[in-house]
Amino acid sequence: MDNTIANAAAGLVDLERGTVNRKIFADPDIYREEIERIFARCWLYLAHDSQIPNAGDYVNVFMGEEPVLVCRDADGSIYAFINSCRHRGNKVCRADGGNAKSFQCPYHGWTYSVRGDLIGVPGHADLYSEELDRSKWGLPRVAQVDSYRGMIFATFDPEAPPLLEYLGDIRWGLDMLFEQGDLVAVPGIARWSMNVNWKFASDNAIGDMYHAFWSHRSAMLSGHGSANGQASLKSLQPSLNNGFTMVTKYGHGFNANFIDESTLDRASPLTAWRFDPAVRARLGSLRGRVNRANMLIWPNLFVNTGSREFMLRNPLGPAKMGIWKTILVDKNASPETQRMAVRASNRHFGPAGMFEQDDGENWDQSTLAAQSVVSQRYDLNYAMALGHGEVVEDGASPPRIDTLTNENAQLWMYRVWAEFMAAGSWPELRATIEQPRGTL
Amino acid sequence: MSVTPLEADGAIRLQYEIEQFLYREAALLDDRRFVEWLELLDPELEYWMPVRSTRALGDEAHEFARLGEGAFFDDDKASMEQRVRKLATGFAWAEDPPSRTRHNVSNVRILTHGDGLIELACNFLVVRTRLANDNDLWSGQRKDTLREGENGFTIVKRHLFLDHVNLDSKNLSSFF
Repeated sequence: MDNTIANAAAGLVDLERGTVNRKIFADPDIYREEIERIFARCWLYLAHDSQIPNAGDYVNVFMGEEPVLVCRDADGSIYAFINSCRHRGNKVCRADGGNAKSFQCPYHGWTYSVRGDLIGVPGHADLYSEELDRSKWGLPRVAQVDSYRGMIFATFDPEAPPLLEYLGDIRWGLDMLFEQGDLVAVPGIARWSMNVNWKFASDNAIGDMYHAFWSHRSAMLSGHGSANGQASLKSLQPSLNNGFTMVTKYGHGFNANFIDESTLDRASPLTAWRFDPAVRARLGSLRGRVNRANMLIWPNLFVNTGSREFMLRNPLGPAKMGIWKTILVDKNASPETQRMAVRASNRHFGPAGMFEQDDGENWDQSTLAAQSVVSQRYDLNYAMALGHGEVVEDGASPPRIDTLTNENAQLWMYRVWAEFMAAGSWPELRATIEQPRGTL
Repeated sequence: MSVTPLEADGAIRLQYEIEQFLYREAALLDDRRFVEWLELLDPELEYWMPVRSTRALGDEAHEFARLGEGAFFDDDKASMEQRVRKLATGFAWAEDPPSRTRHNVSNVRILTHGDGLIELACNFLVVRTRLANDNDLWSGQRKDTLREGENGFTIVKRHLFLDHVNLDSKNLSSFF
């Protein structure tokens, strides 16, 4: 870790003016510090419980840039470790998922259990004279692994707070999704990659209700969403008071628009959960009115509570990012209802998605424009509603802002980004990081 | 396998007609004549491009997601019409300025033929360039079902099996 680079980077976010220097979207040294200070430190989403239901089931994922194997052991517990043989570093498993009894490195045959323990070394007796202590050469395990309502997370940092503390108030937001049914991951993760700095995707997730009306205008006008294009477009008209915004201490947040019950298709099985009295009681009046929330689980997971997806955006370099999209459905819903939900999600998000194809185009352009020296002298403007984002603490929810369209959440995200960059460790970060209060 | 000359003539003629149809269709896409292209899509169209994953030897059955699971395209005629309308709105940023595409179709094999339906397999190679420096190459196998009508063929099914697991493309705003 380089404190000089990291501290200088933290200074590139100007909270008074609401600006962000473009260098943070381009500079390789800053990127390197982000990998150390954010991705090697935070709890990161790995997979959904339902993807590895049985003993020996595994998925190959990434935590930041690290390839990580997530496995279910015979006793049902989950192990996550770096997928890199301790001998020459090769991946010990190269499939994206499956079921295995053990993992054998293709190079020299070192063999590991689904817990990551080294259980076999060819020539251990004669070539190594039994001098290799296999107990010390297992695959490097993550420091902590835990899950929240089926979402498996892990962190490389032993000093990271427990997952529940890390998620904090955003659990109130995530529950909007999980109260909709008994959600499971649909097989078939869409994967694609682009020349984008990961933060542009994150700041879009946490609170960009400004872009929808313009970026996704063509989808709405063409009749995607509802047959009446003008009406669907109107539903995305940037407004102040048709929803609310939430930000939390460790950088998670969301924006949620209220539903117009008069436009709700009550016959659709996809909206049936809204009329379940038990669900309504659990959600309460505020969350019960939410149409859809776009949510960021800091640093890189986009959660959409409307069409029910997890979109993980992994950094692949200062100007490169991979997206993995997982669709969730209610496992108790009929096959027809599940089919309807999956079809809607397939058409909406993904590289060909009616909405998301235009996001890829725009984030690519933002990233490209951050690369050149003279352009870097001109900061990006995140100042919408700066000084107007009153944080409401009325007990109806964790602290929130009662406007839908603002850049308070995005600027908050860059504030947290700067805090992570400036802090040398989790204890330091926990001592200094603040709850959102007052006016943002 | 022995065939009478007449049967052979019929098979050659069908192969020729189908290939010509596929080439004309590819040209419509390259020329961005999407409204005319829509006319080739059957009202019962099933247009599907499943996602794919890397699986170990012996587990190939799980490579492609199944119908009803994760897909890049999971469309019907109505949603394809929406996609075409989208391009004409003047706000379809992924295609304005338009991408340049070259649709190549090859290795055309007629699998079954009867009851006015033809099942065929072919390979596709679509080159997309966009703005100054975007270069995409999408290849795969295609399984089409065509319906023979009075005005020629219509596409009832198009199943697109990509050769890629991760699509290194910021978007997939072209048609296949």
